[in-house]
Amino acid sequence: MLRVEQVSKAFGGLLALAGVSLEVTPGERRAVIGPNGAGKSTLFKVMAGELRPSQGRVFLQGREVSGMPQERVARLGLGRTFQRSNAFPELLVWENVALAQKAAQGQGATLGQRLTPEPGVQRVLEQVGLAERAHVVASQLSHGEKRQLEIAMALVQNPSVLLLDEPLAGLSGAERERIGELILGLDPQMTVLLVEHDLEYALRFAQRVTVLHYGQVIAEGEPEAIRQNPQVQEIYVGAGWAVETGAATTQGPEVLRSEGLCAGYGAMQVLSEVQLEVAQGEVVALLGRNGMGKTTLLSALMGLLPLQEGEVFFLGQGIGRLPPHRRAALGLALVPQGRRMFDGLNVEEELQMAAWGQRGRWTLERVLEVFPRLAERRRNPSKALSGGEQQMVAIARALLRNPRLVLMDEPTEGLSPLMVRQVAEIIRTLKAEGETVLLAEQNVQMALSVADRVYILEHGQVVWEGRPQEASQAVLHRYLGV
Amino acid sequence: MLLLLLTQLLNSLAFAMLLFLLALGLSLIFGVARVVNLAHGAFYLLGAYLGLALGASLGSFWLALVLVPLLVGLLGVLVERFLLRGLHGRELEQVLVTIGLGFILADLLRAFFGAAIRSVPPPAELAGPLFLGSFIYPKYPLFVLAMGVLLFLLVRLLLARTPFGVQVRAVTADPGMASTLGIQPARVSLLTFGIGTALAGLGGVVGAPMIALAPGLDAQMTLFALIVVVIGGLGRIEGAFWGAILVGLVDGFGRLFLPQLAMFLIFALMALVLALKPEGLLGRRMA
Amino acid sequence: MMAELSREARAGSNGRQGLLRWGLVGLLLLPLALGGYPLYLATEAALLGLAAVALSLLLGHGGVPSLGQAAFLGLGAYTVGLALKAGLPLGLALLLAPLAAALLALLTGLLVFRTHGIFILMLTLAFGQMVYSAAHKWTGLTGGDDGLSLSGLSIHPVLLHLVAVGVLLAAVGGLRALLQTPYGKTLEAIRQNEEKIRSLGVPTFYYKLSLYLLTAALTGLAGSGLALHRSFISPHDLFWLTSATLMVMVLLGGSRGLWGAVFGALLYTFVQAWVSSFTDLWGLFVGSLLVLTVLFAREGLWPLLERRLGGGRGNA
Repeated sequence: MLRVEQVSKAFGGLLALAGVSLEVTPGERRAVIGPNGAGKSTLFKVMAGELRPSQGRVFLQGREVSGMPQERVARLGLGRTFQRSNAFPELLVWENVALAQKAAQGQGATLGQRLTPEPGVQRVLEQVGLAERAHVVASQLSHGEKRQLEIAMALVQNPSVLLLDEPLAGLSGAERERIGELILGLDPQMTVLLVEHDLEYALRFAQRVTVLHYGQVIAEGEPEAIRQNPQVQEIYVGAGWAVETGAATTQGPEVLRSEGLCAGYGAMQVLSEVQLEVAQGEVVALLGRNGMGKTTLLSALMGLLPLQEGEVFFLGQGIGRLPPHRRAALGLALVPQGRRMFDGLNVEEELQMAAWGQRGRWTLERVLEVFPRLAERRRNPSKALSGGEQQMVAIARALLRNPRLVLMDEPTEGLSPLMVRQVAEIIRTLKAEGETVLLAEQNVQMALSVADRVYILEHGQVVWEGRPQEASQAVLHRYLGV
Repeated sequence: MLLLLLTQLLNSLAFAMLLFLLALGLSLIFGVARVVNLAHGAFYLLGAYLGLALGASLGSFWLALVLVPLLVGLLGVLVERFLLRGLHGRELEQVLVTIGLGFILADLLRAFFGAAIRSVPPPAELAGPLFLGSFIYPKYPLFVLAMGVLLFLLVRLLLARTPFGVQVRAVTADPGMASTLGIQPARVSLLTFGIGTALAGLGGVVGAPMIALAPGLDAQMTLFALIVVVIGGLGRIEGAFWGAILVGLVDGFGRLFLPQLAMFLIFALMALVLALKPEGLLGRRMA
Repeated sequence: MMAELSREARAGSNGRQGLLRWGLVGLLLLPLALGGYPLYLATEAALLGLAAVALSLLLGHGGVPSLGQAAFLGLGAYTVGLALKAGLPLGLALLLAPLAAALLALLTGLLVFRTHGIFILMLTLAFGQMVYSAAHKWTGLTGGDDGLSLSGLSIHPVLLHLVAVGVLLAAVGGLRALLQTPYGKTLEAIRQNEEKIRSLGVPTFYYKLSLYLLTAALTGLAGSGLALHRSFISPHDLFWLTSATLMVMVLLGGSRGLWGAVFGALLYTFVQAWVSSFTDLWGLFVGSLLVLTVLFAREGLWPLLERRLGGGRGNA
């Protein structure tokens, strides 16, 4: 039905997919899992024709589709839902679905008659549970209903292959349940591929599971076999990390505190009433499944995202309304998700820019001692570095600000196990040097092994806090799905 | 014949350097502030008329050369601060404001300086020809040519080596991330707008002895600058430089050999580049 | 129950919005009783209104920011002028005008729609100016700066006005119906989320191009009308100031729903006539209007009026 042959995709120096092959049979339920940055979304985009593979080929029903524009691939029967889509916000719900239907029938350009809700549209709206909301403008749907609309628009096209990109991400209890059931109840004839971070759900859904890591398929098999696979355990949960059970470090003075913090994108609220504290010299881990608000929280703390409500205190001062550069001047630094290297700058420029006007323990020389690899790469464009090297630049950049608190957003994302260990080592070094770190991390065991305290976020709220050694298997399983 | 070609080559290159000054400002402003400044030609014309007036009243072309860019740049700063900043992130509306501003400026200049065509003599030091054996060529275009090349090298150096230059490049690439490193994107944007418009003003002062001043010149210069950045690629000074040279050469030699079709050759060049490489010859893919 | 109530409310506000529209049509027809200069201006407004409606469709519904509409207007005008000079019958000349404009749109659109967003604006502007400089320099054909005079042709002003208003109303009605078809809704979808509609299998390039051709043809038709109306064609009408003027009309009226553009054209034409009685600084006038509209009346005046009178949001 769908066959991917040795597909690679490079972005600058980053190899997002490195020779991925997989084959999906008609009517199969396939889950593609793997940590953030493993290449899952890239794989979907290549399959759908949104991205052209650097190497390799994709076949849909025996026909090569790689290199075709995505609208052609869609017309050949590949449907997909987006993780973050608000479809056509100013059109009515049924109009969204009817347009999808017309597009699939190749009648998008019909001029003769008005667009009307045909029976097929009605049926699909009922199937996904949106019949009542058919005459509402799409922008007014709730977060979960928008996901239902996405699925309806895909279903009405009657695709032979359906790609679902994290359909449950960011949903809360009841909505999660509803959409989860909806997907499980899809027509068994349809071939469905799912990318999902909720492992439990993905394993329940799938007949076969493909595990991606570092752009490669590291395991494929039936859910039970995947669950048992030690290699999968290792990359997903992180294994071989010892949680330090030593004496608790004495609490230093408070550095950062958030009170009743609410934030989100536009009208959508992602974080609600987050209370959080970080004390001098602590490493605090922020855990949670994907889409639960970790990055949103760090962005809000840094000022990249405006607060909707609440306040952030940094060194006792309210900073919730300050722009990012003012917060940076006060001593906040961010190691951003995805590393965000500046296009067109080389390594030295990235670092110099951070270091200008700074005086303190971290100097350019000092940083290059800690990261000797960067000294070798001084003249290279930062975008062309490998993922691990870019991460070093991002961390070095933050340190050169001589910050009072470093916010680290998923520093192990997309890194090889060896690099993950190096990052953990770096964090330990920082801790030994007395730095204060707030670490959002998906590699749970790694985070637990370096952290003094832990917060767990679920659906934008703090649901658990404590010390790493208090985080029982039950807690981890319940909130992190491992 | 050979001498004629050489003359035309130099003419074209001098004109190209003028276009480069304009395109450079346009490109810098777009990169940092994300605004396509369609008042750019009006700022050029303002610079030219101010140069004319100041040059006459102070009696020194060179003083005008220094003062006028400062004045025009100051106006640019005011425009960014009071008209454009409030529309941050709304591209279309910002462009419309710059269009409106361009019309206002051009019309005020017409009201003030009249609609008559004004040709401006070059400063005494640069007036007259240069004799190189049998080859005779006016000094002034050579001065423009040298200044353009120098400015290109200088701006490149500034962008590559100075803290402000690196900040400009960082804000162009990712303003959000830059702000977490203590850079104030709004300030960089303001300064860049000032520098960009000052360059347009400088272009006006320098260009006046080459291209006679007349109403409508503003639109023509805006158009040339747009074509240069479309061909060269927006947001890169190398794109502005080589794009300007290409457009200058096609324009100059087009006028020489196919005077009726010179303008069309330029559009054909633009169409060709767009068909083959929509992001411009040296551009990065945008939007 | 709730749905019914809201539908009723919508019907009620539609009634009052309808009243507002009839008022607008009345304003367009009123000068028939006055004749003379007011009638001349009203015909001018109806014809410019047609071009503004086309731009409103392109910008507000298709999301294509074109700054080159003056070229289509001018090409339509010159086509009619030259065709009549060549001795072609008026009917044929009027047919050729929109075709010529559409052909130009096809040639430039193939390139323009390879890019996105602000680049579209820059390219339409550049191609528009290309046509301007052609009209300006090709003196053998266009008469250059001296313009092209269409003397010898006399159409009764009342007839011309009725035809202009009729075509305008037919265009608004037809285009509003078009917006309700799958094609029209797909255009709106492209403006709102192009990636999504492409992933559903819609080749958006052709939709945008076809819309561009349609609006160019309408603008060309408007241009041919203006040529007959003014009996004179000047290359300066092809300058981008005219494109910006159309943009001002659309923005003044509000960029959605098409009626706003008619209102904007009418308002602009009469205000301009009034202003021209004491200054000839067009650029200053249009420029200030543009800046003020963008800064202070972002939604446009027509939706404001509709809400005042209709109680509902002025939607297409």
